[in-house]
Amino acid sequence: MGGTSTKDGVLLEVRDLEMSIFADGGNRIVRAVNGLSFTLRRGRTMGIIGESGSGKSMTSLSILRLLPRGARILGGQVLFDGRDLVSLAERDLRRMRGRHIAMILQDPMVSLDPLYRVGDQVAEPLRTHQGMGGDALRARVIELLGAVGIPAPESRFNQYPHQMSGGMLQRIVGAAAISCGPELLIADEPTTALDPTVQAQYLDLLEELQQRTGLALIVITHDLGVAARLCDDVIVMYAGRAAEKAPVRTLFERPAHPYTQALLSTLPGRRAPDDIKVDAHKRLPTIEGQPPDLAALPPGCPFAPRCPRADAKCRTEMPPEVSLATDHSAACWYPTT
Amino acid sequence: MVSFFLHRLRLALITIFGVTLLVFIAARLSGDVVYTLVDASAGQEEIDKMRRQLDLDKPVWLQYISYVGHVARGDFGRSIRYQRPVVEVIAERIQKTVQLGLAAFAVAVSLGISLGILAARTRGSLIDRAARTLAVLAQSMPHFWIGIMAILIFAVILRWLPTSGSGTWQHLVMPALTLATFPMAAIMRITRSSMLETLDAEYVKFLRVKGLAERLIVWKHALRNALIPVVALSGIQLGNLLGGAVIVETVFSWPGLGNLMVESIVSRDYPVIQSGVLMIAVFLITLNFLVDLVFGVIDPRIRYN
Ligand SMILES: Nc1ncnc2c1ncn2[C@@H]1O[C@H](COP(=O)(O)OP(=O)(O)OP(=O)(O)O)[C@@H](O)[C@H]1O
Ligand SMILES: [Mg+2]
Repeated sequence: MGGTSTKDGVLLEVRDLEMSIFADGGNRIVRAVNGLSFTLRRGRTMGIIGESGSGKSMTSLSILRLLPRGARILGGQVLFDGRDLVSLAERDLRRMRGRHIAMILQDPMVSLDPLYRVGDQVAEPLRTHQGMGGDALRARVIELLGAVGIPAPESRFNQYPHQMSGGMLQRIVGAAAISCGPELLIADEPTTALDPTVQAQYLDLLEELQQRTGLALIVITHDLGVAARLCDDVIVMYAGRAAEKAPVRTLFERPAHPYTQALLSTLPGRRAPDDIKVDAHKRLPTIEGQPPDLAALPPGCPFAPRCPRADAKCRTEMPPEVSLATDHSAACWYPTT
Repeated sequence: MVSFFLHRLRLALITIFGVTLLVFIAARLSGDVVYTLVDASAGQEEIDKMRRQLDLDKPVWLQYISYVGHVARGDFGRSIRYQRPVVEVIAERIQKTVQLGLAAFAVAVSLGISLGILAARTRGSLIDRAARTLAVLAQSMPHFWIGIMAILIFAVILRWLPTSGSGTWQHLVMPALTLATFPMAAIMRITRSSMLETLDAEYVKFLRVKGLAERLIVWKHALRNALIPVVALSGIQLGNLLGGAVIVETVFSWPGLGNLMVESIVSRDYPVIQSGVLMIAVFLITLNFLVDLVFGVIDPRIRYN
């Protein structure tokens, strides 16, 4: 990749990304991502939080251009190390996947092919991208399994997915994802499928990996505690847009968007991010009202129907992203300043 | 593993006993063979003599026990019609049916699976729709109709192939293809839907995330997963081929087991009917067992349980 960028340089820049899913033969257009922009620097961690259906998974899949059937990227750019993945040829993009950009899918229990040994599945990216094979490959895979905290990696190599627990599968998937030393790892809800002790260990692992390899992380989560603990910056997604973007401390201490404020108000007392407990089994707090139907978005601000601050303008005109401070912005006509 | 085999063997024996007993009784209920063997003018004395000769004068349950005893010693009796050992009569015919069945099955499996994959990979295209329409047609036309149409077109009008009989490979073409249509369509449809389902699976998405080549994803991962229901269905279809063979062999005068069974039922040749059904039962049981073994090879979840 371009060796010109510095250690602290921008790794990923998403600009005005728009993705829609043409469902039911095009009769229903689900506007899953609506003009999302953000910047991620090397070695940093970006959190994406938002309620179910707000477009978090679709955003991460759009970055890798692995779209569900009927989905199309309608606009915007995904600049990874300066190259636009949206317009990259499929062949070149395939070489980026698993090698420079890795991803851990939402459910580790179904992320592995049930018919092949887990060792072989961790080995596949190394075989494909680095042409490794034979004993060297096997040794490297066993080393990777050890690195993600799998005990007795030599014997685990030959096991099948159904012989492993959810926590182990999560680690196997992690090992496959980091096998080629990616610069960016996207983890979609890294903890919801796990029990509390296992999730805590897994978060430790992600942090340790990041410190060791310097990879940048995008962590998608429902859990404000995970966001508080892992992330440098957070995007609060609502209806496929960024409602608010801020460094994690700013977000918890001075939330500007009424949606963010509603989410945080459900936390007991006013908290600094360090005080918030990691509890992946607690879903994102629910707030009153229904999230909008992405196939029938209202003309104005998508949050207006649930917003205590909304007026006529909010209901008819889409608010632009307003910059409130360096790295802090909110898409709201009346942000708290 | 050993206990698994023993269990299967016990089930097989029970099934075989049940099937033979049923056929034994049904054959005798269907009519009396003696009247097909003696002249219409024959007196009661002659009829009784014939009955004694064939061992048919005893109660049915005694006949059955004696039959089982003979079979256990490898004696399947003599054909009443052909006056030769049943084993010889069946052996001649079964070769022909195996030839026909294997040819049809090979065509059905190879074409069915390839067309299924093609349709799945070109989902919604003209190819996909054409393949699906043909499959529905193929599954709704009865064997005898396909057979007669084939004879009309390829033998009578075009004169490319012989109308009936056996001997050369040309004789095999029409019966085998006729017999293959139904299982081919069934296998194609299940391959297509199973392939579509696996291609949408989460683990296939993860393979793409890892950057694997599409050909590896389709042929190494998706196909193997998609084949599990295909193997199950193919086993059933291979069993069903026997039923189809009865009709196809009759339409094309193919001298196989199906043909023999029809003849034997008409002439009430009990020993041949009984042994023929016994053969078929053993074949189906073995087939089921083989299908389970194939499952074990494909799927580690079964191998390890
Ligand atoms: N294949 C599809 N066809 C049609 N709509 C889809 C499809 N996949 C997702 N969607 C829609 O796209 C929107 C965004 O989905 P996405 O999976 O990104 O949500 P999410 O934020 O990841 O939610 P969760 O927290 O539940 O994982 C949802 O409204 C969803 O219903
Ligand atoms: Mg999701």
